[in-house]
Amino acid sequence: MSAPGAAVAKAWQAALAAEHRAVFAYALLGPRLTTQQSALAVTCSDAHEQLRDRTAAALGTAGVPPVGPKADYPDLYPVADANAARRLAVRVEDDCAAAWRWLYLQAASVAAPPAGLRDAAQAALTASALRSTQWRRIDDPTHVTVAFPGITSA
Amino acid sequence: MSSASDEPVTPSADEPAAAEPTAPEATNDPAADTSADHTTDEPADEPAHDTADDEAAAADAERPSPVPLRDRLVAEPRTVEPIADAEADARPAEGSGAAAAAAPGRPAPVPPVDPAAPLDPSLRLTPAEKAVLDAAPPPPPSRRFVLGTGVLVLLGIGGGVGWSFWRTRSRAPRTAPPALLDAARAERTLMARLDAELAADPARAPLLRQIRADHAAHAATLDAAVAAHTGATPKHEPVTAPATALRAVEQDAAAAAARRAARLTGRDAALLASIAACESTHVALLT
Repeated sequence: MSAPGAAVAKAWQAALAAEHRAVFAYALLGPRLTTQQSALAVTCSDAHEQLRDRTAAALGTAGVPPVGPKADYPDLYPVADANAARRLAVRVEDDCAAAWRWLYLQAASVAAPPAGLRDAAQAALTASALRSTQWRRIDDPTHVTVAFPGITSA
Repeated sequence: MSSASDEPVTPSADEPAAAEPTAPEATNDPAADTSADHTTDEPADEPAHDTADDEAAAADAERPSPVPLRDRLVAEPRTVEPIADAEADARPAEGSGAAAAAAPGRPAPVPPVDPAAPLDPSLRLTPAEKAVLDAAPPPPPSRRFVLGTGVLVLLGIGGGVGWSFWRTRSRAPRTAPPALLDAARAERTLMARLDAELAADPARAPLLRQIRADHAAHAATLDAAVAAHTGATPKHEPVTAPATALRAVEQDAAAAAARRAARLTGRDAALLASIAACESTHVALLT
């Protein structure tokens, strides 16, 4: 894999950091959810963990030391109840979508981005949009979709 | 050989005197007397010429003129030119020539000028001086002229470059990427399909309206993106709704948007990537 430019590497690291944060958030919000919703949270958390690991490995292969997780994410608190937990899940997924879309933009703005990076960013952006839609469908069925995932949020 | 060749060539003691056409004692002219006092500082041939001119000027001054002197002075333009040392010396100094003789080498003091006094005839330019002035090169251009000309030249160059740049930019071909135009057209096809679905299945109207609103937002944003390239909003021909199931249409649209995003660069690419993700959510909702 070719070495990314500074802007691409920075956006790539930001996407990894967003995945670290999402994993932390699902561990935080999971206990507040009902059983059915907890299953969705586990599925989402697993997806974020896998994406986090793949992203860290890809960064290492590209010669970029991957960022690690933070000890805490104070902006995720408080999560008082199930409603707050679902809203937090939507927010975290939207943040991840924004991070991956930003990486897509950076990769699309250089002449020779690392091979497969745009496809990976597109897949991660779509996956976050899908998860966000699932949480919205539970939280507020009248506002399920977002016209531009990663750009605007409901 | 002759002994004369062995002797160093020295100027004769009589030569300087021979170069002097007139001795101070030969005339009673005080001007000539003053001129003789300064011959040590000047080349030998110049005093001869000045002395002759002085004599002519003195004779001219003494000769009665048929025209009154005041009328002549009024008729002739007064020109104040630098007075040559010899001429200044030739003029009768106020007081006596003893003062000038007392400080040889120093310029004689300039007497105060009375504007109402008639112009001294000796100030008139001789024909030889006029010829020298006419033959002299023109004075160099002033600093203001040079700076002004430079500013005008720079303004002209800048204006020409700006005009050329503006013409180049205004005439550049302005076309939008085909992938962007295709995406804008595809969104209208999806909207037509959703309109047909809304008419056929009112029970799902809330969801279908949300999805249609997304496509309308996509279409408007894509039109704006096209206009950013072309400078004009694209005009779309009417589309017919496909007969395929809505979910399949959305699925194809999501895949096509992702492919178009991969063909684009920069913000256009990121916009199509986001639209592709949105249409994937539509597929999930229509399951």
